[in-house]
Amino acid sequence: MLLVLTLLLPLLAIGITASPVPRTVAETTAVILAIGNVVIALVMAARLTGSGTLTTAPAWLSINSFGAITLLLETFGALTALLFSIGYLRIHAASNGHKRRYLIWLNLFFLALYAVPLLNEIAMVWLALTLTTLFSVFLVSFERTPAALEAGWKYAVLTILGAALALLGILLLYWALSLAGATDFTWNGLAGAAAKMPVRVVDLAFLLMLVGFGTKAALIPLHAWLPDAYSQAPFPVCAMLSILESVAIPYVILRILAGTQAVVGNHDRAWLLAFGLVSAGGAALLILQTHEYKRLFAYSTIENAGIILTAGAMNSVHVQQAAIWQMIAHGLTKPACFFAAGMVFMVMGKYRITEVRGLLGRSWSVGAVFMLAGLTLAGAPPFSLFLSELAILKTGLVGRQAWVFMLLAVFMIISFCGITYHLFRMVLGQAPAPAHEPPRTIPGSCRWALLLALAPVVLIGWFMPAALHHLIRQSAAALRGGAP
Amino acid sequence: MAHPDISWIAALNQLTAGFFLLCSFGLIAAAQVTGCIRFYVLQSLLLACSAVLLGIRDHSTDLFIAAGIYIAAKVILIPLLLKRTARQEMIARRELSQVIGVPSSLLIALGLTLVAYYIALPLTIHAGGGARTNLPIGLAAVLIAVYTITVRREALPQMLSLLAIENGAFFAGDAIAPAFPLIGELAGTFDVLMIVLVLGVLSTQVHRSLGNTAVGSLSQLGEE
Repeated sequence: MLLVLTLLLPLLAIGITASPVPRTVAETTAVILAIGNVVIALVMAARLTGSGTLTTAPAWLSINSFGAITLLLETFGALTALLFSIGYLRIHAASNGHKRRYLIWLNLFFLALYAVPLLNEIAMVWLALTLTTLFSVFLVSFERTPAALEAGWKYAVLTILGAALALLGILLLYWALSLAGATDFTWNGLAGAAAKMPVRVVDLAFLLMLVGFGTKAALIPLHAWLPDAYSQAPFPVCAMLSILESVAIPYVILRILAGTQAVVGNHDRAWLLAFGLVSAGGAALLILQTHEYKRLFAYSTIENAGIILTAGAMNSVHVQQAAIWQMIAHGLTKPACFFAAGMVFMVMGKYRITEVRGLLGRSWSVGAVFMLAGLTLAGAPPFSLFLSELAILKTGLVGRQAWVFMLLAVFMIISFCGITYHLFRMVLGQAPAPAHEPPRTIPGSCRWALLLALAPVVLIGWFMPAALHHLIRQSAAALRGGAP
Repeated sequence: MAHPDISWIAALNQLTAGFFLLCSFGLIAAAQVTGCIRFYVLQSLLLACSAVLLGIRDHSTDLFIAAGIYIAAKVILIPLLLKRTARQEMIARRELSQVIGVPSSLLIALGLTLVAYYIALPLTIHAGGGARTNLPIGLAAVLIAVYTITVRREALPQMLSLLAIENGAFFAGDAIAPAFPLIGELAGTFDVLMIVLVLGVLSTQVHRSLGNTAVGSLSQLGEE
């Protein structure tokens, strides 16, 4: 029932936004429904600390503890992004109809995103991931300028291309499953039949899925669409795209890996490791040389997806726990960063790093909050990303593949230096001569969204709930055994 | 599966597969948007034919239903949707431009076909007769379509190549995974329809704002 409700609430929000009620009513209901989604995800997470999975009667929908963590991050990100969007639209949308269309597409995007950890049939998970692209195309090109349309087109073509390759991978995986005698094409069926699947078919299937989903996650070198899409998309959409790339897609890839790891002699771990390391390293270098602060955060998303996949590819339960921990820490931090960046844009009106100077002098509160968000993202102590990166290095360096984690440590240090360098240049320094127009006031809902998004980032650095820790351990165990 | 009439079915299926691959080449070489659409529709029709032939061989009703879905969605609905969402002047456009010329592109496509055979043939030891034909051809169609996207400059040919990847995937899929649940076929079809809707509208917006749809020459963005 809770699982169905999770998908019904965004549908309800779409219905209300599309109906001719006043816009403020539609916005308020959408926010209330988003809060409802967070509450439901929390209840499901609480129930899952007791048992392995929650399933509906015909096994269409099913969620395990790893899925519950994914859903929790998605719903929380969605709530804050929705809140921020309301204020953002007040400034940027041309007309009422334009605002409504934005809210409808945003909720459709949420719907597809929530469906990813809930669906049981692997082909349907693929469909949900593909729909996240199709529903977010108009969000990326929302501004309707030639540049935004160009970004939207590139984003759509490249990620649909990735989805089509992943589809071939899924078909090959089904072939491998049916050769192993399975009749059940769900996550459980995959775990059950994995040991008997022919290794060559599984290898090709996994590679196609990795390249396909990797294009959607903008893993390097498949990231061609990302700088453009992020520089054109509204800030809350960037936040949700980040959640998609660093939470939902690693969830799918790691679950597939959990299924195929039982096949003797497969190369899946090595491929995932290679993709993860190249992404983490390449993105760290891109962070150093970027000129826009929005792209800075976008590259940092790739870096973190790379770190999560690298650690997730390890054959060790402790490292995989640390990978999930990293996924949580980053999934909570990144939306806050994009919201803070959105406020910087509202105050300064510029995208380029070199054009933003002396933020503290221009607006004390925005400068401080941007500094805080940026430092948490860079991995400064005592915030959650610092702790999770430390956990990855601590558990990884004692393992057999210590060289991987030495490299990761180098990449983390590079990106720390890159982010803090750009950050200090923007926040400190001499403020330029005051512009002609007075700085725009920041809408209240944007402030609230940022505060709400920052709260868990700071809190979890100090205090880790026992239930969450339990859930992480359970998820890592599920990734090991394949079974829920 | 020892049926007396299996050989002519296999032969017909091989013929279908050959024409299917030719359509992929056609999508590269077509000089007009209408030509691209025609080749796509023909390829979808051949996909349905192959599904019917494999369905007769394997006594699989699922494959017959899948063929019906292909015809309804790809042969009938998609051309209709394209004509509705895209503007007439985008479809009527002649002389499409390409990054790489047609003769070189055809040679590259030939090379990709060889690559597909090289990858797929070792896998077919696991499979029956249908897969030995369909898997390499399907894979080749996928690779050629990916290549076509990279060389086409206009919006609609790029979109049709995207849809052709899906065709290639299902051409291979119908033979190797006949047990692929119908829900999967429906998912694929729904996805294709959504692609046509979303990209159709988007390309119309591009057309309105730029006056043409040469998305390949869009280069305003980019990190310097």
